[in-house]
Amino acid sequence: MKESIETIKKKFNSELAAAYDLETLEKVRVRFLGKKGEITSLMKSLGQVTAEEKPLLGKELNQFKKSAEKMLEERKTELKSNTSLSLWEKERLDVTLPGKPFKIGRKHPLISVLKEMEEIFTCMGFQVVEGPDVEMDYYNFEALNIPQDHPARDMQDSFYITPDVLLRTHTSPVQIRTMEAQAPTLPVRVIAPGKVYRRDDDLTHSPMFHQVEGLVVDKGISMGDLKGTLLLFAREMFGSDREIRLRPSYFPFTEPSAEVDILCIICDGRGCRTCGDSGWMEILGSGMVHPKVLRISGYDPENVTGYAFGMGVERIAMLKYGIDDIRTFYNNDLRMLKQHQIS
Amino acid sequence: MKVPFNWLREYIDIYLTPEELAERLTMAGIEVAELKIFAPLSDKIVAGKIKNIFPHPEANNLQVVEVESGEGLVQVVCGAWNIKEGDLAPLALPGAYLPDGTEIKNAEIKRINSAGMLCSGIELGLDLAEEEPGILILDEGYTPGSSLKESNFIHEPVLELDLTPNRGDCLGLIGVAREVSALTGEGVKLPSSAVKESTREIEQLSSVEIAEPYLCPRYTARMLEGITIGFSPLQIQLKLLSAGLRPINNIVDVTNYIMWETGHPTHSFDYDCLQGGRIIVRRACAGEEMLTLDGVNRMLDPEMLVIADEKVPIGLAGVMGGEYTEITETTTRILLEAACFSPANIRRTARRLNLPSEASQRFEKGVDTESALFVQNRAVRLMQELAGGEICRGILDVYPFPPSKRKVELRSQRLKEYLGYCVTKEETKNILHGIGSEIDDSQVDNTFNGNKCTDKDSFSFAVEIPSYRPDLELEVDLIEEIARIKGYDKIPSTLPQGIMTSGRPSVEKRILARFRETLTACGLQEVINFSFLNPKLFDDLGLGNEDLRRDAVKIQNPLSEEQAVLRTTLLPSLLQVLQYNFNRQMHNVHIFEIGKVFLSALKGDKLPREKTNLALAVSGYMDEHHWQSPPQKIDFFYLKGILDTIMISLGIENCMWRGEEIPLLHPSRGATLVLNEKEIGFAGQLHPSLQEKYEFKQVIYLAELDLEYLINNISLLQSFKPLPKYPSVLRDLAFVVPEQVTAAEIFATLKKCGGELLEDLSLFDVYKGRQIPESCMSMAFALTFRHPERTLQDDEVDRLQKIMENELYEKYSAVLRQI
Ligand SMILES: [Zn+2]
Repeated sequence: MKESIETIKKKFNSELAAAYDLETLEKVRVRFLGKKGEITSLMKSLGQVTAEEKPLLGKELNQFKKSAEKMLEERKTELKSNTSLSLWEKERLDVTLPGKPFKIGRKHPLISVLKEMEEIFTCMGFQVVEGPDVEMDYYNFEALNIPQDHPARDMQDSFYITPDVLLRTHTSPVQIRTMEAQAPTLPVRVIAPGKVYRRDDDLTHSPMFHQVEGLVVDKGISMGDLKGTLLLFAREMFGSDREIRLRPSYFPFTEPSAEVDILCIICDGRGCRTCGDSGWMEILGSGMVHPKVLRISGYDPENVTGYAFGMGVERIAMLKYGIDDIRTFYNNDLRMLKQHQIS
Repeated sequence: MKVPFNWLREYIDIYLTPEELAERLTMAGIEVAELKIFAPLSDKIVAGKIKNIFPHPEANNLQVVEVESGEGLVQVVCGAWNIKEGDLAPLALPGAYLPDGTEIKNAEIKRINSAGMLCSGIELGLDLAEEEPGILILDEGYTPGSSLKESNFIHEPVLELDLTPNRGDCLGLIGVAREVSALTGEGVKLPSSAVKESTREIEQLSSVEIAEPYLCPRYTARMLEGITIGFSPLQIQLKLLSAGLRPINNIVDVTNYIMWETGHPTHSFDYDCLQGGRIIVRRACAGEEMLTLDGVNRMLDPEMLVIADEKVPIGLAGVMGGEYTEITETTTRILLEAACFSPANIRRTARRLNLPSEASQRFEKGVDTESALFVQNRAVRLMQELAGGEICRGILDVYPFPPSKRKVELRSQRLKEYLGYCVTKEETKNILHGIGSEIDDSQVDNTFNGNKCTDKDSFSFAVEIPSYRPDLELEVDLIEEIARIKGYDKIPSTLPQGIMTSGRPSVEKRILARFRETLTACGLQEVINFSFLNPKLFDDLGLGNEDLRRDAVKIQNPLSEEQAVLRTTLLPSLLQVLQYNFNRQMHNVHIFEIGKVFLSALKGDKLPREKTNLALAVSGYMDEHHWQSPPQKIDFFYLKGILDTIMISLGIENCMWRGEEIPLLHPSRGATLVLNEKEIGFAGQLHPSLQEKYEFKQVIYLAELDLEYLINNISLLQSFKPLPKYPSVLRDLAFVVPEQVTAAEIFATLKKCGGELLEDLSLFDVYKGRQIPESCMSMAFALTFRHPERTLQDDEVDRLQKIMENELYEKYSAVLRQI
């Protein structure tokens, strides 16, 4: 019996060493450890040895079986990895070939800019409101302190539908509509984005363009609040170190009125072609809501004050993306629109 | 408004460079749009005194001139004949450059040396008025040898103001000087208006009558007799040139000069052409005509204010004079008008006749009625200086309702509330005085406390507004004056305080945002088109006469026929975008637009209805080209898939597609989209004849939805169902169905029969051909059955399947196909 174990051990070792592929290895396993394998048969014949020999031989046989199993397993892993390597080599890809293109659509750049502006103001607690594109002369002019024959009407050559209905020339009528609807409740804190229309068509003017109007009415609103709000906006929109400056100006529906400039985003104030060497770029008009406008909309100007501002979305987008022809936004040239990275 | 820097300095001392002044004015709200600084004249152009003139020995058309150059006599050859001994003229010495770049050199002209050149106005870049073109004769003020570069008015710096409509007062140099005074504290120096009158009374020669006192609040007239029309002296001409005005003759030049100085336009009539010698300010009569100074015969109407003599109109008030009383070379007596007119009326007339002039521009913004006499005296004084003659005694002055002094209250607490910071009483007073106001502070609570702003430092002023600032009407106007003179940079940056408000976007906004997200995720690019449309497109698109989209809102004054109406549908603009991009070799076009359409106002409404629509168009390939697999062409079901995805993103499951004939679309490849029995839009392939009309070489699929119903009926609230606990039973069933039966009908029947237990149903194959009878097709469905509370048994599913088979057979003669 003892000799048989030794013989099988030797035989197993030599056969294991000769098994160079997984198939031969499996045959070796079956020959020794299969149901009728040599080691299995030997274990079965243990019953025939003497009681004295049994524990010793049994132990040895068990150890041999275990080590055989282990060696087979090790050999198998070794062979497997060799085979896979050659197989995987055949599966090699040129990873520099182009990937599958996924089609991406984007928002129109003006919509992206509008969205960004809306986000900035809504986070400050401004509600977004809207008004009609076709407007009454009353809301577009009269209620905004621009009566018939007022020189300010020259600045805004309008498209008329009937003598007292026109395409709005600015988003300011939404100021009146909002206050009329809300008076006398305080505070009013809204922005009104939308399309506006003027009879102009050249490099820097489009007959249709977009504006965002802002309006805050409450007790104790000051020009300082206007300046602070716009500074915050400019920094969110154009970078955290952007400076702004207010210049006196004139709008019939605000008093005092101010044009707002930001430090040129091209040259940081050193002076360049884009800013006409001034170092500043005009981005919006603003001011304190005119007392006549407050009164006509249902608020008592002795008790409340307010500020308003209005800015051109195209202008902001042109500054932000370095576009110098406003018509770019309305050609809808896909080669242009697809360049637009933000959405 | 052009402000010549040195001319301005005649009215105020300025210790700033032109650049600094421009910056100060701009930051105070008087925007300097452009500061023009000219290249200085060459140093070598000096004033020369003509000593001797000899004929040229070799040429009859030339002269030899000896000129005192300051450094000795210089001999030059000259071709002009307007010079005489003793004249001063510009002399360009060798090495000088003329403004056009010509270099002056020593030359020999017909064997005579010429060491320089005597210059004409044109050669110095000056478009002067002169008898005949020739050498520019300088005023006596120049010393021989002094460089002309030092002359104040040749090419001086000019500030071009871009004034806001409320600041008509700065349309004159004195007004600008007042503004500078408010900023720098220097006093304004008014020029002399003292006149020496003759004994002849104006009232014996003329009279003025205002028939329309509301359109002409004041009319003044003065007269001069015995004047001589001629050219203005060089200094006056140079000043006018630097202001961009063309010198003409001494009388016209004075009216322009005075307008620039005071901002007040005046007009001179040839008195001897006035019938009856009288002035009547009235409305034009219907049918009246007048020849204006520009040589155009104009039809007048009663809306227009005219200046008339006893018989006919002689001037369009404030807009343009008439030719019939124009100043000519032979004029000796003139009547000078300095008047004020209603801004609104002048504006209307100037616009109606398309005649904007320097004068009408000023009257439109309102000129100071109180300054009329000063202006009148300044003008006749200067006219006498330039044209001689005698000033008649007295002024005709009709001023029916002189306004009383205007007072506006200014309270310290309002000032602080508006600006967000404190301005002391002293400073406020100084600024108000600086803009020419008088202050009545008798009501002041005089507990002033140093420079600090406290509750005690409150004040309330009654501020008397100067007549030349009609724009200052209310307390806020004064607050703006204080703020801008102090500088807007003094305003602090603060944020509004008070009750918190939510800025969350409305449901509509959020739904529109979801449309954009879904569509861009489906690979569609957003476009924006104008709200205008060419109404001709309705015919081109073949819309029926009854089609509501033809009922578009018309624009009265469109820029072109292309933009004559407001759009009632977004599709025509999308087709134009397709065309634009196809023409630029972009053939895969996947686009959408969300925008308003405009439908005619309902009866009784003034404003049209505005609705938000969504339109999309896809054409070309579904994907980009890739080396692995050829891209697939876009077809109807690609379009439908996009719309299905939109509906899924909004949680809508029951949108129906009703195949039918739709304008614009292929007659058998279009569908109306129906949601809860409401038509919400349509989708399909562009009609082949339209495709041909647009010369599109590829098929287009499009859709347009009216978002109103969707927006009002969608809930953005979502809930999640718990995951199933029991296993499902899957069945694949194929039915042979007659061709005319629609997929929707089979779906509906299967769902109805499956009831609650049919969890999911999908069509995975449609097949026609071998093994399928002619005019039939096979539709294969995958069905998922599940019971929520227990394991479903096969025989239960068998029973349901049997019901389905029976129902489909009875309704549509569809039979189960044995696979
Ligand atoms: Zn710059």
